[in-house]
Amino acid sequence: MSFQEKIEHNIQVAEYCLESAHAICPGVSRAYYASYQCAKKFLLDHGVTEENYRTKAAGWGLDTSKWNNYSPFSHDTIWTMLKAYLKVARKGSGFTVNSGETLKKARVEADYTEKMQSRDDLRSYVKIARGIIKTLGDAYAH
Amino acid sequence: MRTDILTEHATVTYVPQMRGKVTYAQPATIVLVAIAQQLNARFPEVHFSYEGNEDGSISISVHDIDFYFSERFKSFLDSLAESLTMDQYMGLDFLPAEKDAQRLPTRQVLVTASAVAQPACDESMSATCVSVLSGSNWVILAPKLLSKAA
Repeated sequence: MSFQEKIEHNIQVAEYCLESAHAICPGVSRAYYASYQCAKKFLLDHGVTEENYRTKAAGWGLDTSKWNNYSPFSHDTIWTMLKAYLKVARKGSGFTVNSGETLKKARVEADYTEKMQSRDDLRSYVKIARGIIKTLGDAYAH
Repeated sequence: MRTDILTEHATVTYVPQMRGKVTYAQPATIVLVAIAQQLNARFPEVHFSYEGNEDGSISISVHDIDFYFSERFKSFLDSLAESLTMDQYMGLDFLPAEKDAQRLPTRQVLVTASAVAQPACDESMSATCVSVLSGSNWVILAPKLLSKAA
């Protein structure tokens, strides 16, 4: 199964959860993972591998000397590298990465705490995830 | 940071706790204020809020999620990305914050105290990065603007 299919499946599940009475938090989690997979696919498609990610990051202007806890394709690594790439490639769109961080925080609350998310929250998060997918999709074309 | 992204100086309304103080702004604050001026001038219909974080980074919340993913905001960020160094860019967060929109006053840029109450810059910077109390509002003069005003 391709990443593209997984991205679509996850965002569709998140949207399906909007209609459910008891699946708001799982929906938040799926919305985040749709955006995470989209970000990972974007970096893979731009030549990042488990072996070269530090070299790539340094080439995009990042100081990797403090990356002791950054494993390849960890969530922090992916969002940090994506932001740097988009700047270097003059595709702006730093907001895409930062909205990914917003989703990540929401997903942590949804999965690891007892905090309840509202349907309106999930609606916003699905919108954000859809925005990330569209923005990164557009970035391929430019 | 390129100073040519700065526009004519604009009034920035700070939270009440900051009134009565004259403060010196550190470079990160100047960047923040320059961006705030740009956002306010270009997109007066959109609500933004600003926060300085403990690690020195700046968070800007955009209280209109459709605008957040719009082409005109993307174009603005594209030009901003070219103007900032990598360090400045990595320390800058634009976040969607749709659900808090109704809590903000209309057509007003609100800069939180934490964004200003950061370590003061050194003396050489203080000569050009001084904030001045004007009426009930704080007016920040960024370096290029200060020389214009002089």
